[in-house]
Amino acid sequence: MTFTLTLDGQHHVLRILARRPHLVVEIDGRSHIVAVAGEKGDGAGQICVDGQDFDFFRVAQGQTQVLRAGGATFNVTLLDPRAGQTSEHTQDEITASMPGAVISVAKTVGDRVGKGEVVLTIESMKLQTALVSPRDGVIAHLGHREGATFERGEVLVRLEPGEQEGARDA
Amino acid sequence: MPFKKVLVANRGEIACRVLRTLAQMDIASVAIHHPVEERARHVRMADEAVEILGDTPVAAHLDIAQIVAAALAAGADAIHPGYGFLSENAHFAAAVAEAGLVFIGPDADTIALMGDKISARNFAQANGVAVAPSVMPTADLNEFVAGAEEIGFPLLIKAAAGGGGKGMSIVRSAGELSAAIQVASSEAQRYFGSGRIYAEAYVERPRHIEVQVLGDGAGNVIHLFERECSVQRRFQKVIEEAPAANLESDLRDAICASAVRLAGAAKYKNAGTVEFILGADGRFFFLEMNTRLQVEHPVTEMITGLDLVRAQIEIAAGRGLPRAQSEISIDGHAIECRLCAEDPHHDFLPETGVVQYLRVPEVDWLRFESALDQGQKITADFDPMLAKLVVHGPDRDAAVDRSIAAIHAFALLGVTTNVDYLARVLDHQAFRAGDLHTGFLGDHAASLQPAALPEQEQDRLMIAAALGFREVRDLVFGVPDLQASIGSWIN
Repeated sequence: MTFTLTLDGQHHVLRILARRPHLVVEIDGRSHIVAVAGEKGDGAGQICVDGQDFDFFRVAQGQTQVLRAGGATFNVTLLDPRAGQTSEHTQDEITASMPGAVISVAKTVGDRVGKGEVVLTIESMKLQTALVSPRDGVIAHLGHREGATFERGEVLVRLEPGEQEGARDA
Repeated sequence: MPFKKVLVANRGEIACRVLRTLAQMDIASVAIHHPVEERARHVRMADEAVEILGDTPVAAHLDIAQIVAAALAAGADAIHPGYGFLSENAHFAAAVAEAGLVFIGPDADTIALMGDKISARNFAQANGVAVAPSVMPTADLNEFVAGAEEIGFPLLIKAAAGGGGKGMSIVRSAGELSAAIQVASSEAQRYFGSGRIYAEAYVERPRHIEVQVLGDGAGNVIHLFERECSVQRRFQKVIEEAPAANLESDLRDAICASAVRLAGAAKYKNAGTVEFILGADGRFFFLEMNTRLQVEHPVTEMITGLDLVRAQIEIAAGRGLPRAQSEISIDGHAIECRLCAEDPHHDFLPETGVVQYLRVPEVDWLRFESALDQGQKITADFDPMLAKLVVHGPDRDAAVDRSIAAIHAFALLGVTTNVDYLARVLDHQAFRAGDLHTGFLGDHAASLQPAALPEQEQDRLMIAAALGFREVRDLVFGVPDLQASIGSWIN
């Protein structure tokens, strides 16, 4: 089975090649022998990759694993396997990347928007940002009015599922 | 016992810090908190807690009447204001005194004197402390502009009621001046309640050097040497150290003597910090005096072996200064890193999240000052500074190495922090050389970007991360052989 992961924004393909006699994991065509120290939840962990021990701290945040190793922190996200290589262009949503408030709303539900058109303007930490539509489409959901506040990760705008670049698996 | 009971008018890591010393001194303690922080660590550390209300959590911590009432109701005989919030509010200090309580800090008059940056500056100049050439505003704007142009460029426009790095802008040419003055004045009015501004010569590549002082209120002042706080971003300190890097002892003596002269002239009582800017030519100018304990006070404690909070309490109780000047010396070197909930990859925008995992190495040369609990929500309610990593070493090189080692062994997951960025700053060749000035982080921004990882390391961490996903774990551990034969097994 193939998994698509992103590491700090870059896509990588992971395949489990074998489980016995060794766990063999392939990343972007490079295979590695992995020994796992057993089932561990969030927190400290250790694995052995190609004979070298690797210590890390790890917590789960939804579809992202936050990993700390070698004095650095990384975010690895598992992309929905059914969508395959989901690209930005088929995004249906605008999500808040930080908490804030809505300054002004330029569109309403049912409006047709072009890619790059401003849908709403938000403010956070005294910074104003205009949020634009990720693709051509029709606004299906726009739940926040002028003055409304939101948390990071909240969906601000949703487009009607419509024509997208590339085919989607059912 | 100096006091029977002290109310700590603050929160977060500084409240925990003060509470720790109160416990060591066997003094009963009272914490205050807004409802959103009722389970906070500082609340649990105190002997008693009083809830304070406000439109926002910050507003509650600025409510003088409520806090004084809380202290009286709890039977406290003194209040420690910490830093920030009301610690440099002369009205608060006066209100505390009027209520018959002891304010653990300077007198209200001294706070007011040093709180207005123009009056502080004039006081410094009148007492033989060098100040940067400057121009004060008059009713005639043209006169002010002409005076500013005489100082020369670049210069700084500063808000008289500002401070703490806020309300300042750099003007590089005469053409920019009028507009800059108008913007600075209206912003100062909005943020500090006073549009008074002044212009001051801007020292290029200045070092920020500050001196810790303790006064007994009768004109006797001692210094605990200096700290260097040059590594700053947007005028906010990121890394501080004591003593200053590569500072000649003559210059150290001159700067510390200047600070003592200023504090002595003000008959300063309790702890304070005199801040200077030091130019490459060795000239130093008075910047401002902070009439409170500072965030970075632990580095001074580590090199002098003195508990500054204890000293504050003893001075406030009328017990005088803890030591004579001749009994204070520098032992080794200390560095403090401010850990903040911010994303260096996104212009250091504040981050929120939950402390899902916290691991702090336990070594005797590391002080981790925080109010963090595993499971705690990090919200936008308060300041993004989460903790301070303070490290001591026998010399500066050792302190730098130990700071990097401490960061590598440390983990805080669940909210994005600047911790990796801090390690890169410490390891930067210019930082190690002590080649510091307030433009350091800006100048070196490009070389402070993270290095690309070799493929083998990238793969390892992706594998380790992937094993955290249920979908991957199911396949590796839990999928029965029948199902495993469906799909792309290669064996």
